[in-house]
Amino acid sequence: MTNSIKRASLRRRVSWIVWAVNIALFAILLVFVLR
Amino acid sequence: MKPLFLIVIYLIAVTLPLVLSAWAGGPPREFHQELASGLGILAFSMILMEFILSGRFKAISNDVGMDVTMRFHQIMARTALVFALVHPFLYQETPSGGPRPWDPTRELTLTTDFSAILSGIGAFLLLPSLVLLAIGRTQLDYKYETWRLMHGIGALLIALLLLHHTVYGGRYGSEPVMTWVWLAMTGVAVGSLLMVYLLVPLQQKARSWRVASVNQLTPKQWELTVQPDGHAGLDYKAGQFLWLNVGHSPFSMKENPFSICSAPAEEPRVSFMIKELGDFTRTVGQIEPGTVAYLDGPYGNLSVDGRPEPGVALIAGGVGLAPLLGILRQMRATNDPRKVRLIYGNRVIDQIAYREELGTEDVVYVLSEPPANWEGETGFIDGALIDRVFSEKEFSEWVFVMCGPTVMMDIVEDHLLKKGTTSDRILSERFSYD
Repeated sequence: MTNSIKRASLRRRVSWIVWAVNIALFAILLVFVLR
Repeated sequence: MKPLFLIVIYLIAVTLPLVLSAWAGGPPREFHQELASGLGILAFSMILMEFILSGRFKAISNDVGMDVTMRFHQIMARTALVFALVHPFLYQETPSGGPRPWDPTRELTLTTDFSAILSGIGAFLLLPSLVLLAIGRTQLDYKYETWRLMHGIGALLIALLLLHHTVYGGRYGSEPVMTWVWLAMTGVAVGSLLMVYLLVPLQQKARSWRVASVNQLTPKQWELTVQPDGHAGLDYKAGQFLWLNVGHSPFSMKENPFSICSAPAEEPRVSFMIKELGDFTRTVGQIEPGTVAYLDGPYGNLSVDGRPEPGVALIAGGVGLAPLLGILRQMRATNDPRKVRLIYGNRVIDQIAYREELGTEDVVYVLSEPPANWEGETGFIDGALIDRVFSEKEFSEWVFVMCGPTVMMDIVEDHLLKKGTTSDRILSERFSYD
């Protein structure tokens, strides 16, 4: 497991933010498109 | 500001134009056309937010960390690039042409107004160039200030082209409400540039510094100390960094980020440990005492102030000692009750800086190419070495702060996580202004 985490703390901190932001963006985009 | 709060603010700012477009625009069109417009709208607002995420706003970067801010800036730029590049192709098979009075809400047709298309095409070509140049900056070997100027002007140009394209070419952007929203958002983005390149330098001009001393620490490392020129100095935390401009106008792009290696308790002088690496650092030895200097900052959150852990582990590779030395000096100067231990790695013995000051108590020196009579640790800073220096209890209780080459930090970080050190107790800051 550890080998796959390069620059672990940075990637962890950024990746959950990016995931959260992108999911929220896509959700709002979907609402816009399907309204 | 708390990170979660900042993320919510970011989401609101990025999606505001989309939400308002849905509210103010005409009836919805087919799926692919709405998706095309939606992606274009999101891409533009994300690009505008990139200006705020440039790392020069302390309210953001000092709270979430400079490297997180910059990494987020880079990833969101790439996401926006994909959105922007995909969006025109999704309009395929939509009828286009000049004004069509039978389609007042532009539900059925696309504009082919040449100038609106042209500004879009301009941004379409510039945006990938900007992102690719940023990704390949280190390989392309630009002078740092040339790169900054190019990136700033390129971004400004793209924002203005997109404003024109969105307002004149966009179905939603042409709505009066949306025109004002886009104008306001672009205004904030451009204003942020003005703040960084005009307002901050003006403030710096009123609070100049003078070089107090330049000392050679090792064959390629220097200590540069500046003192305030007629003002009280700087309020900072040990471990933070500053943008340093020596001998140039405060409006010059010739400034570089350096970690502070002095302790706030030693105020008002501020010292930097600088290694000869680039254009500016190679000339540090020629700087005369008395030269005017300008500081912007402090930035970064590599600080152990107020942390509850009973001990502080400092792991430094080469010039990465700088912020950790600041922390160590501050702890020693304030008789900090927490335990502290420093691992300091170098290649050869001549590269060890501040050896007398650091002493041998609670300091472990490591050399990868040691001389014959070397009695300290040898090799690289790796898991085995860390296991020799720290106990299981310390892994689970102390805070670990590190700064050095990426390879070293990757190895140390992976090993600490394996030993059960939680990621909130691993502090490192490596930023690259891509």
